[in-house]
Amino acid sequence: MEESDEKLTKIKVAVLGDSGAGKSCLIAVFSAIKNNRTENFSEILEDSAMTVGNYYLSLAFQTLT
Amino acid sequence: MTMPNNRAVKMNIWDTAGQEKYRAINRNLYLGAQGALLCFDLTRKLVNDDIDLWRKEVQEHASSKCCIVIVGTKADKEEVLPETRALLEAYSKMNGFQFVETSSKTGSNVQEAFKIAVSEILLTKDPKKPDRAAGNGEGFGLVPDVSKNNRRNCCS
Repeated sequence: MEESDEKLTKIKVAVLGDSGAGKSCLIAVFSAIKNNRTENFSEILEDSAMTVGNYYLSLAFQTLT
Repeated sequence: MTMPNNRAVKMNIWDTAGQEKYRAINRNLYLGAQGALLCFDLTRKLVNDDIDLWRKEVQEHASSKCCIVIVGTKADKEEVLPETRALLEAYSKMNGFQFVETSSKTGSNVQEAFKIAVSEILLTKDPKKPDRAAGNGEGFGLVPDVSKNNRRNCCS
């Protein structure tokens, strides 16, 4: 399904917290779940490094009943 | 938790560096954020001021109306401190925030944390529109074919 940008409700969410709180892992795992990669969470955690600067992840989806 | 249904949503998630030295840069990011997930390690000792600090960061630099979700991370660990859990729970209750415990290791409640944020933002954005959803919010359907997944450095 293709959605034009005008039809999308755009949301900006910031993930904050102290260093080592698990912010990047939370986002990485969320992204993995979204992409149906639900068996390799440990690998994701192992690959995670300290965030320097800022990153963003853009996800488009549809809310359903 | 209710979720306005059948809405196409594009969510930009900003991952910020937690270190103090990046605080000034991060403040530019909060600008315009409709939602914030404040993450706290459940295995670390916390005091009220630690949570307050992040809440103020958001409310002063994003917006006072920014939807805040308090997230307790690493819930799978044996070292989880009951006092930290209780403090986060009490703080959330007192300030009217949603609180969720997550584990990135098991994936437990990770989607839930973002679902709560999205629900609150959509309801705040469009409070007059009644929810057509039955109300269980099950439908945080991440429909794969409309998804774009790009992790980028903000400066690239």
